[in-house]
Amino acid sequence: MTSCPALRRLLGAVAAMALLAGCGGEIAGTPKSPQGARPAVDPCTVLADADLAQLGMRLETRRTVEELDALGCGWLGEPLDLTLTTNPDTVADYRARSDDPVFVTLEENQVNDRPGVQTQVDTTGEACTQVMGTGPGVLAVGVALSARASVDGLQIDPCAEALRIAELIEPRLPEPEA
Amino acid sequence: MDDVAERAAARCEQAVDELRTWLGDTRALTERRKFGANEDGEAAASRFAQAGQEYVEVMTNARNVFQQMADTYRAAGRAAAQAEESNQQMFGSGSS
Repeated sequence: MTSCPALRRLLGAVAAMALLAGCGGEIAGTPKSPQGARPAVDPCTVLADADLAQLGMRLETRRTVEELDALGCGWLGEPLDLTLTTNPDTVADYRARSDDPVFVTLEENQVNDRPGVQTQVDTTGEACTQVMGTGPGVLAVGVALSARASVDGLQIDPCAEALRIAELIEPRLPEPEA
Repeated sequence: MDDVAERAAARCEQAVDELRTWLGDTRALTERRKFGANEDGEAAASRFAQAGQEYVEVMTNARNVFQQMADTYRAAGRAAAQAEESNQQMFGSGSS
């Protein structure tokens, strides 16, 4: 009955190796720094607890997400996990990154009548992010199938779900800047 | 036995939740990492993208293995409890 702790140590080592593989070598050039203004919307409170519960989120799993210039919150739920973050980019900035190899897919769309972009950054097909403009910057709605949904083979389109949640949030956002 | 199986399943589900959290954060990091618009930057971006995708695939598979282990522990616990109950009924009815 000690299989899980042993596997967790192994996974830690695998994770460290995987991250190191992506971090080796010199990087030339000047990466764009997050100079843009932060969006006015608070991604951690834009959905009320009742909304989150309705979406199947476990409220006690709320965590802060801080990955480079993406700030917000994340929740675990069934059948989806959710992250809501803002960053200083615009939809046009995403459009300009259409050739960035990090995106497995990047497609422009509309969230209600608001311009948006849907992106996927891995090949599992189990996760998708819906981005939409909000004042300065964008709000990103990231969804991923839960382990339960994945193991049970539930047929859920994460991009359709990300758009559905974005449409729920959209009326609460300030108009995007041009 | 049932209690031991439930504890083992709960530990596995704890690992599942940790991996789900890592995966969500990794996807956000992967999307926001930008490199310079030059030859070296593009090479670095390509390498980073590939590493990120491989990492997510490995961790997604690991997450699902933990979930299946939790399911297996629970099923084993239920089977053991049923066997115990059957034995008690069998010996109980035999001795009366």
